[in-house]
Amino acid sequence: MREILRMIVVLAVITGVSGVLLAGVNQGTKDQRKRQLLQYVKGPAISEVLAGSENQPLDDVKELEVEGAEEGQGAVSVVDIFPAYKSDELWAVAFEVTGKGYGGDIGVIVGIDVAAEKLLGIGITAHKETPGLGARIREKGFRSGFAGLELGGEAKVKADGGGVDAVSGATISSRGVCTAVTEAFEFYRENKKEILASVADRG
Amino acid sequence: MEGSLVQEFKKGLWEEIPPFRLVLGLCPVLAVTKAADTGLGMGIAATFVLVFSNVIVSMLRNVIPNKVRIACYIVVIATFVVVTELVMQAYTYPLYEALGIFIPLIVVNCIILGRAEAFAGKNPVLLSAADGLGIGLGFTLSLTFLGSLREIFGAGTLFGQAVMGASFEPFTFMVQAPGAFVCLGILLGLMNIVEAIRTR
Repeated sequence: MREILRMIVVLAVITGVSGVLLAGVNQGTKDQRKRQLLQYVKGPAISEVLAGSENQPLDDVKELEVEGAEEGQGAVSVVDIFPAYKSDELWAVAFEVTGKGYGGDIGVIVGIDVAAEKLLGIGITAHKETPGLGARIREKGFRSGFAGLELGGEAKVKADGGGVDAVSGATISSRGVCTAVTEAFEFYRENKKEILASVADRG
Repeated sequence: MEGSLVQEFKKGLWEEIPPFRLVLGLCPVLAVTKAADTGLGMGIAATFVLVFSNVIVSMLRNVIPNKVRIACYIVVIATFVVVTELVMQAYTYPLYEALGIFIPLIVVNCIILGRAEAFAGKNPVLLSAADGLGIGLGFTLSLTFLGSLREIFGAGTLFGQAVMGASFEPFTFMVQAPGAFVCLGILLGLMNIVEAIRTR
């Protein structure tokens, strides 16, 4: 009996200490990890989506607080808005939305042409889809199907009556991206004023 | 005491150099040695985990009950692996991407659990640290060497710098999976020959 107790206590203490240590390291590296993610993953996606802008959208990022934008109704969440300017006029904005894929959440960057109210394009950031199958949502062939979609509509794969070519064999992943894009449209329509106001002045 | 410290450190560099002498932990060895820099990064990450897990396991060796020792070792090792993973994610993101799944897999790397079980669980802290550092350095050297070799022949570069001249036709086989087996096999054979000559 004493022995069992001793085993439980030792193992519990070791696990507890390790948990506290990990929580500390996690907290301590959080901001730096976010910056790296921005630089190496989101950065290239945003630059591609907003290609042609005359500023650095990554540097001009604005944080926008939105009520109940995503899950957790009523909660306030912060959305990063990346603005792009052409000849000192606001030309486009990009932000990230999340969709449900086959293996987990899919991060989708959407770029929206502000004047034309059309989708410029999308970029995939984080995902856990099957390599060679669902992971092909990153490929240009799939992503280019979204360019030019009207903000008033929805993004749908062809099987669902839409205009986007799904990645063959990866309908769930493709639908996940479509849902995320549709949600981005809704989010933009509902919060258009706030979004545009937040990035109205440069600097 | 001093002599044995040096001895414990040195044995990892030749007598028990992990991939070649112990032939342990081959999974990352084969997978991440496509280039010299990923090999080096993996080696350093594993060394960090190995030294700290050895020290902690050695410190706790009289506290940990024998029946749950493996579970305790794994928790200690996993903690340091996650720390490594978070730090790499924060400061060396491209390397973290290149190593991918092999960073979390350090947890089940048999070299590290093997050293905890075979050495750190029975020896004092300083000796265990020396052992971890030696084995870790041996592991790093092996991975870097294997990576360099494969990168030079497979891509004509070393640490991303061209070294073979413009007329060199890269031998792509070397950077693919079979190349890893062949390369490791040849090196193992060479080391056995050297060892046989040395001890004759």
